[in-house]
Amino acid sequence: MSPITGETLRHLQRVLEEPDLEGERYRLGPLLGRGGMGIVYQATDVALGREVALKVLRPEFTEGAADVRFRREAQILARLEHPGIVAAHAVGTLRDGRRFYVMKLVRGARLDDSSQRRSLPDRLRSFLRICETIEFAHVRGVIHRDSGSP
Amino acid sequence: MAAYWRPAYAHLRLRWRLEPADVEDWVQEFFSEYDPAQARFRTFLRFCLDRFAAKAHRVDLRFKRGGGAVHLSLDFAGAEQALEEPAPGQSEEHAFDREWVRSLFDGAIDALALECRANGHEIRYEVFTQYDLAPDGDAVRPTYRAIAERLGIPVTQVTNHLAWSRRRLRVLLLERLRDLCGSEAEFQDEAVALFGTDAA
Repeated sequence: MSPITGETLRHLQRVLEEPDLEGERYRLGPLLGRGGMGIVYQATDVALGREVALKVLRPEFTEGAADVRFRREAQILARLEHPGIVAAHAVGTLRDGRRFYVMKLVRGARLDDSSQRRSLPDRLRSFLRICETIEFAHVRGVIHRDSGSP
Repeated sequence: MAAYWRPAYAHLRLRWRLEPADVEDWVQEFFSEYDPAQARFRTFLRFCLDRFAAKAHRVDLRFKRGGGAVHLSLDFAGAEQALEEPAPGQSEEHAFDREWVRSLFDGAIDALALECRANGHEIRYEVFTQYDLAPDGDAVRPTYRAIAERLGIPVTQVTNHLAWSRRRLRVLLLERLRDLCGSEAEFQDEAVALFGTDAA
C-alpha cells in the first residue's frame, strides 16, 4: 500500500484519540484540552440535556498504574464538594477499555489567559481562593501534585 | 533502543562481514553514544544519518544504482509522493518525526488489512478504507449512509465496523510502538506524538 497522505494521517490521529461514545449517553463535542494523562472534551449529556466536560484517558493508558490513578482521581473529585473544585458526575469505561469520567462544564476564561488583563488586587483575590481550595483538599488528605502558577 | 540493537548487530555481521567480537565492540560503542537523557532514540538516529550524509557529501561519494552489495526493498517512489515540505514555522525535525509517525501508521494499517483478511473480516477493512482512508479526505468523505448503500449493509453496521477497525488499529499501533521502545517511560513519551490533530 502507498503511504497515507498527510491529510489522512491527521484524520486518523484525531479519530483514534477521540473517545468512541457509542452506547453511552454522551455526544462528543469539541476538544477542550490535553494533559499528561487525559484529554478533556466538551460533551452533551443527551439524557439530561446539559453540557458537560468529559475526561478520557489517553489511548496509551488503558491499563496499569495510570488507569488506577485516573480512577482514583475521579473518586477523589466526587468526594470533594467545594465551590472551587469541579464536581464529578459519573465514571465509565469505553468499548476500547479506556476509562472516562464526566464533570461539570466550567465556562469562562482560563486563569492563565485572563490574568494579565486583571488588576493585582483581583489576581490576589483569585490566588487566595485557590489557596483556600487547596487547603480544603489538604485537610482531607488529598495533595494535588500538579498545581503551578500560570 | 532494545528493538534496534539486534538488527544492528545482524546488519554489521552480514553487511560488513565483521567478526563477532568486533561487532560486539562496535554495537556497544554505537549504542553507548546514545544518551536517553539527552534525546529520544529517533533523534539520535537522525543525528547519525546527518553525520553519514555530511561525510558522503564531503568525499563526493556516489552510490551507483544497483551497485551495492545489498538492495533493500524500500518504496522510495511512495515515500517521495507522500513527502510534505514542513509548514511555515515547522522544522525539518518536525518533518522527520511526522514521517516516523506515518511509517508506524502505514505498518499498522497493513497489519490490520492482513488480520481482517485472515479472519474473514474483509467487510470491516472495506468500511475503514472507504471512510477513514478516503482518498480526498474530509472534503468529500462519504457519509455512513452512502457507504452502507454501496456495501449493502445497515448504517449501524458501518459505524460498528468503523469503531472496531479504529480500536484494532489503535492496539496495533501501540503494540508496534512498544516494540520500538526500550522502557515504559520512552513508550509513553513517544505515544504522545501518535495521536491528536496537532500531534505531528
